[in-house]
Amino acid sequence: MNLSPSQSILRAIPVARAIARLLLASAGGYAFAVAVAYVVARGLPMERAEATVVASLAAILAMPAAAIWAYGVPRLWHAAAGILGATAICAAIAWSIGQPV
Amino acid sequence: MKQGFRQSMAGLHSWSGLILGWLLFAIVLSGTATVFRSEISGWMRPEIVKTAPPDAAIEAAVRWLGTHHPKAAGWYLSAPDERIATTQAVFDDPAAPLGYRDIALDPVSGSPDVARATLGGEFLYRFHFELQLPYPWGRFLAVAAAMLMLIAIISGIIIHKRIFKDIFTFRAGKGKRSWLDAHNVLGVLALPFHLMITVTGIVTLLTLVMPWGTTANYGDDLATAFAESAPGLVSREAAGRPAPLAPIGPMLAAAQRAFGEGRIGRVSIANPGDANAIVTVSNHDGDQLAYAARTVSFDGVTGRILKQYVEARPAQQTYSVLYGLHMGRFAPEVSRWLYFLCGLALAATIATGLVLWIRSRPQAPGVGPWLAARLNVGAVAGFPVAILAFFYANRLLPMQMPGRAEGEVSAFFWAWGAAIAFAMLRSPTRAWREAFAVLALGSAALPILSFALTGRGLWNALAGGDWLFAGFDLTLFAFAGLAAAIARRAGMKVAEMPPRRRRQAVPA
Repeated sequence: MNLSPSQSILRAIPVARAIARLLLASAGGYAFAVAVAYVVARGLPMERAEATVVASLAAILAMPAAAIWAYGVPRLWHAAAGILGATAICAAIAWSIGQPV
Repeated sequence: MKQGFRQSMAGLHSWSGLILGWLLFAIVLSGTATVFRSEISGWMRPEIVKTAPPDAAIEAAVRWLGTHHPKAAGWYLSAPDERIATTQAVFDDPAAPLGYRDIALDPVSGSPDVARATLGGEFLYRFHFELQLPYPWGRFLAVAAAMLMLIAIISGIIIHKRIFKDIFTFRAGKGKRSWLDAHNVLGVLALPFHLMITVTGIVTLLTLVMPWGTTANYGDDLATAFAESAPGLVSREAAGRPAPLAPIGPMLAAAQRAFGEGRIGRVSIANPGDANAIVTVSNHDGDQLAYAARTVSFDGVTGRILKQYVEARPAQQTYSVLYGLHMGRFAPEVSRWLYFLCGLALAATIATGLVLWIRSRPQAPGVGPWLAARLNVGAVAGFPVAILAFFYANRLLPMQMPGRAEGEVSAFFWAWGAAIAFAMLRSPTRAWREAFAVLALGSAALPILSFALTGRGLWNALAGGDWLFAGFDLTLFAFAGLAAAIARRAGMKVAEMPPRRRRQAVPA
């Protein structure tokens, strides 16, 4: 079967979209969890060993939440914007607080 | 829009469940068996009949280790209790294949040679989260499987329209509909357990998979992070100057006074035989929900108390309780059986889900569905066959065989591999039936073989109050019955299924 270049690109799009969603849910979900871990660890007004534990526990719940959200949102770019945006915001807040000394 | 959401969740549920589903089944079943880790260890060491109080057993273990493994960097001991007679000892040993040894010591003599060489229940425990892979890859794979299971459970709840009603719905003999009903009943009935065990399972590997909270607050300074997260633990480098270890008995007695009602649980001895030796005694995990709640540390040479610690910080305690919930060590007899039954329900939920995936795609072309249908048999029937092979090897391998403990593990993997290979060669319908028939026969015959070889069997166990052997044999017979029932039904076509038991039984 011979496909013209434009046809084969159209065929490849669903595959690319599926891969993009998978990456968003897995790598994106983990990145979001890491950002949550950072912001909670630094942002909670507690002894830092305590805040670290809360942060890690929150992070492992953030990952499945992000993964489900990545698959639940109908539009791919909404999912991408949401996960990457939330990750960036958490990361920015964590960075602005800085490592406690 | 709402329909679309539910549909995408249905897709997420079936794919997240499938992708590591076979591995998950093995993880869940080995974890379920691990609920009875102590009892399995006891059954696999039938030579151990004498018991000793925990402090005497620890003293004996320290004596034996001091003679035979004085150069280890640390000895980590778990004291015997009412569930297990032996002291479990873990220590580094360059001569061991894995670089460390995990052995059971006789409570009276402290020697590992009283009982046959076996890993006992420790093998299933380790397999549950390390999957016999090198560190840390097995743990990473296990936690990835757990995360996928968590996603599958949550998306499963979302796609479920009528959680409560489904508890009471089972329509037998209706093909795919029955599989779906079974999947729903098993999943929903113990749903709180399934969620709890999955989340807490991830929690047990928290520091490995989610170290970023620590990095955020401590950077590279892991020593400070560790000191602040576990202030009860004293750690110091070996001095390099030999010094004899003080008698352990008085230290255990002092720890016992500190614990009050609580029992002695774990005893770790760092730098034994060195001037900087440290002895840390933790209270028994079975005494409270939290894991490792209280510790007393001693200077190993003088026997003087260095530190006493009771964890009371709320977040650390929460973590410790979540950890303890997964380990289930706190659970007394009845709740231990509930853990076991809920674990079986989770394994069965996974198994029925895997079958459903195939049933929903009966005409799907390609190698994927072909392989999936066969892997189902290889995993669901093959893994219990492998556990059974491990138990058989324990009874049948020669006592003095070199590498005997590893031989039992080899038997486990050979049996699993053989079951998968067998599933590849047969049609799935036949393979289901034959594999479960093997499982039924194997389970039923094991107590008889064990009686012939050890003289400890069901009748004299029941008569003599030997609840360990009685319980083990009765459980095997129950599994034999279950496997036989599955084998009988697995081969039938939908039309041949008896309509419903109850309707047949009523004619009188």
